[in-house]
Amino acid sequence: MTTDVQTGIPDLIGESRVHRSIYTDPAIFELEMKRIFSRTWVFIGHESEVPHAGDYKTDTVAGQPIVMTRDEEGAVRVLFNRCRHRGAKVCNLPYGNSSTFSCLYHGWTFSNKGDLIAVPSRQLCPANFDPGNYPLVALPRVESYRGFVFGSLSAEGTPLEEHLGRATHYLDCLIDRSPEGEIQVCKPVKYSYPANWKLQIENYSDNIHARFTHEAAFAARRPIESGAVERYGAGSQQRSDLRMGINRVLSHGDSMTDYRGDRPQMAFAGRDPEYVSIMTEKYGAEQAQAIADMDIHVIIYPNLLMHSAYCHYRVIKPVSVDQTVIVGYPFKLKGAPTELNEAFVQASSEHISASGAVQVDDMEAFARVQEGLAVEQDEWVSYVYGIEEPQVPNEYGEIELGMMTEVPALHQHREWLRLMSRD
Amino acid sequence: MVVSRDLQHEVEQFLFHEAELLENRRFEEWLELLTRDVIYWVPNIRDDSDISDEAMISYEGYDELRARTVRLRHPLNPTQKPPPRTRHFITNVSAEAGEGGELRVRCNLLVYVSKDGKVVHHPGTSEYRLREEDGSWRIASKKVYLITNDLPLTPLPIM
Ligand code: FES
Ligand SMILES: [Fe+2]
Repeated sequence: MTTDVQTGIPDLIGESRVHRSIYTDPAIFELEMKRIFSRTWVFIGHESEVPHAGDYKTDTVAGQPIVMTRDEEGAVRVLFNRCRHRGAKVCNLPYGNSSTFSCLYHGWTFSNKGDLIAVPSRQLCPANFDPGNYPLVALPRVESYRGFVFGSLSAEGTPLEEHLGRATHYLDCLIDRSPEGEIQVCKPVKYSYPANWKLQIENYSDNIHARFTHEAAFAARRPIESGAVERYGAGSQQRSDLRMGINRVLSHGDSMTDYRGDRPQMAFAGRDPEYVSIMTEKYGAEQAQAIADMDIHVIIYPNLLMHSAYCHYRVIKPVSVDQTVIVGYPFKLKGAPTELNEAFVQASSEHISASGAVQVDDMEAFARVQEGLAVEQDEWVSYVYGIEEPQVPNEYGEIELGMMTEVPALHQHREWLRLMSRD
Repeated sequence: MVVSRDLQHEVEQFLFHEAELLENRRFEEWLELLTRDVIYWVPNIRDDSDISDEAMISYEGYDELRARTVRLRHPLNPTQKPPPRTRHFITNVSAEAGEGGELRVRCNLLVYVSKDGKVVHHPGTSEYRLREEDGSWRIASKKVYLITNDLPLTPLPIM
């Protein structure tokens, strides 16, 4: 099938199948950058990455360089990292602290608000040259929800909170595990895999694959969460059939999994008596234990994956149709015991790093899928698990599903289609 | 203080032997080179990263490393079918006396990994503390500083 990219899009997403070209066609990838990553709200970073005035981090959105700064008044800004003169990136460090950015090329200097504050050899510029016309360009829309900064490269669209909808509740759940209701994000690990970005976001709601893809990791029965296990005990064994958990489909491709005690080994925070007692003071014993034991995955389409048990999130960065970078940030719960926070950092690292125990298996699976999808004779990717389960929204508008389901991925594709179908 | 020529030779032979064990997937024998309190550490982003505050590429003790070898041997491990093939190139070896009779060893390291039709390389420096136990040198700590530790990485073998 040759896709006429502009007109063929609706044909690529079926009720329970999607066309291989959404993973393999470079023209579709280009369109995704325009219609998804340059339009909808995408996660940019967390305010705690730039805690002090002058702090900044550089990154990319839809492949375009940006810098997230905290200005002298304490406001977080997201600016394109592109000199207004002849285009050079003005900041070339991954992170740091500076109140100004001086371009290496001809010395234009911008404040961390973006204002152009110095132009060398100004007398050689036209008399009516006005630096006020040349600030660093800000992302058209930037909004944050409890420290989570999202941006959109499109000036129009729904406000962030309205777009997130029910997902804000689950962000609250994750953030409120901190006794102070705030998280502190740590420096991330990064990995890359030779396959399409959507394979990672689909995988995050896929609870069917674990006992096949990760069999060796489970079977090694080493303390997968080594440091944490030493400190907090292994808990009972993970149930490979994940009987108790549920999935919930939210809006706009978002979804969450609540493991509800299916993975006691991973949910070690509930075995930290000091943490539980701090939370008990705030919430009472029963609720405190539930918060401490919370083991949920939250997916905010298209690029944010959150993990409560180990306290980390992953950001998906599509590089090309068959190349993706994932940046995984452990985070600490402010006010929680230091040892527990350190255990989160270690467990997260071990889970997702390129030298770790679990995510390497998924990367292998993504690469195999990408290779398999080169087969042109077999055009469709099939979803079969759980698709006949009734999809009745609950009082919050969530569709509640069992554990072994591919329905959340189908909802991701529906959001993909919605975004991709509009000019 | 620089060590004697004999000791320098001994250290180099030790490192070459370690590399040979890893290249040939003789993981159980490699484990025997480690002290029980070994720390295998691959810092993330920068060489002096703070493990209490920053994600790490690897920070493993003996039990985790033993578990890793179990994973590497497991018949259903998808990352080992086929196993990556590796070569460890070791140069610029220097050794000096450390604390409590230990040796502090530094060398440059270049690990090539061939898998799925691609060859990737991981250049860096290794820093060891070697301790004598039962008449042999053992690795009490191994810290691997990759010059690529700030980049997105593909799966790393034991370095
Ligand atoms: S390109 Fe930045 S000053 Fe000329
Ligand atoms: Fe997985």
